[in-house]
Amino acid sequence: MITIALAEDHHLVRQGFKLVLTAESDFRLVGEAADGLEAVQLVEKKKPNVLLLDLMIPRLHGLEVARQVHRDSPDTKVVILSMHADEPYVMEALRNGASGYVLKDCTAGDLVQAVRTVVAGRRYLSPALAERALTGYVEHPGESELDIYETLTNRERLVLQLAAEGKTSAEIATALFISPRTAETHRANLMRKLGLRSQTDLVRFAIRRGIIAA
Amino acid sequence: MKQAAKILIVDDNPVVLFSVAHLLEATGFKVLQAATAKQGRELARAELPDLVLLDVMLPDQNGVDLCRQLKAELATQQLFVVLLSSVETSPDSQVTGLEAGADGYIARPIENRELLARVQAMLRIQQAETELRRAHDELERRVAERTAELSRANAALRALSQRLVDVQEAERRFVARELHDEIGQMVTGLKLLLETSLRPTNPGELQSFEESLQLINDLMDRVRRLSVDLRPQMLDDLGLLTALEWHFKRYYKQTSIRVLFKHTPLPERLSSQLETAVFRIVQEALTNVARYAGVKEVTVRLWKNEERVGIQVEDGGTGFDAATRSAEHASTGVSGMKERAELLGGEFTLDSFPGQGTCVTVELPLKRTPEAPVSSGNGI
Repeated sequence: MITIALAEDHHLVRQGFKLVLTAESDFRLVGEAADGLEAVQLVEKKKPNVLLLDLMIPRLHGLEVARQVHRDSPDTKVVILSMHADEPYVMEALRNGASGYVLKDCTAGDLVQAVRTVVAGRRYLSPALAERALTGYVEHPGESELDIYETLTNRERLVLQLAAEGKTSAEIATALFISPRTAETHRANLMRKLGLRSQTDLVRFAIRRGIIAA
Repeated sequence: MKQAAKILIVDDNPVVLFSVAHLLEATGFKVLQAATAKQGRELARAELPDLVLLDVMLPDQNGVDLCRQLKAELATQQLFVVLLSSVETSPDSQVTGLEAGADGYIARPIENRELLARVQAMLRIQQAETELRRAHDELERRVAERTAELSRANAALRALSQRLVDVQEAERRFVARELHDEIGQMVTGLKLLLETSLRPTNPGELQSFEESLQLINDLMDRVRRLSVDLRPQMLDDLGLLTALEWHFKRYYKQTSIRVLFKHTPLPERLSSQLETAVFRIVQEALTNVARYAGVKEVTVRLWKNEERVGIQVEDGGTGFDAATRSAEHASTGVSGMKERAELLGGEFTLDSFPGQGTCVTVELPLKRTPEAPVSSGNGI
């Protein structure tokens, strides 16, 4: 016998899930909760094998409920029920201790399969998610730490170098064939981006970056 | 004349001093007398006469120098100074005197009647000048007033625009949530109910039943997409970085343009207003890239320091002449990004050149600085 608690605030959805669950002879629904706090208390009291948990449940966010249940009742497996098919939600849920993630527009078979899989000690993701996980990561765009110097435009880099060499805005303007006002704007923009407050800061930055010799 | 004009005579010759003073007083002027430059200077400062008749030859200081001195001081520079000389009447010395700032030059000897006429003429000029100055000051005051009014109106307009943006975002957030959570869940519940209790056994009915389920799935997809297009809930639930990364993937699927995302650590969430602004600006900039740049890759940079959060979207694509095509691009989201940035007191920069790509940079202050106090009474 598999004991199940259902935490879902939406009446119609809860009715639908109940129909699916009660159709299985070895499933037993031991309790229902309509918000996150109730869900945590329900698990405390009934210690079910599985908690079916709506991600967007009111009062206590589903992610927080999952975290607490995973910490305090590790024998209860949490299956997230969600309207969100987006990977970040899935990742967040798994990170918070959920064993399964089921989309609410799943078929009845998916839900039953999810319960059986997590009870057997494995993870379960809705088929749509599992497929996406396979293809999704291939497209993962590159990502890395930003070096703030990168945000300077070519012009600003030139102005930085000239300014670090001690040139005035007027001299910079002449060197780059721009107006002194434009030179001044470039200088203000680059200092703001780099978080520099004074000419000393600017020179120090330029030396540290090897833009000018110490 | 409403009040008797006040005339200061500076002359070391007691006879001249006495006779001129007598002449002017008899005509109805108020007369002050000084026999030295020092006395003259002090009286000029203390009394601010309407007219100063200044002898060029004084025992302690040259009258021309005193005149220069009076004209250099803020308190006395408006005084109307007339140099009087019985000796140095050559055109050269007159020029020297006028160059020292004197407003007139009277050569002696001069008949009383003529002196009086000259003094009255000078006073008329002096009065005209005073009135002109007053009119000018009044004009300046009104300009300052209008400028203050204008900047108050501008501040109100900005506040209103920001309010409009906030309301629009709140509305979108509400409708997106309502669509996704309420309508979406009802459709879901409907589907589950259909599947579990109404599935027909008759194969003829089964096909139309499956078709109904497919319709429900399509409906679900539409509702979800509509909700996300309005406002991604992820921005509220999981924060800016996650929402951006998710958006970049979605963008790649729709456009085949890869986003290279670089950012400084962002351990804490920004205000909802800032997160929304950053997200919308990036969204808008990427839409422009997809439309115009003709590239396969775009770089998005995000950074935060103690004062600001910055975003930069740079592509190496077609580019355009930022100086001349501004009107055309104003309609393509650039003006929207600019306005959003400016409403939050931020900076917007657009660098672009034909063939050298486009780089949009926006920096937003973390804390909104209050409107600069409207200066009043300036320049009076």
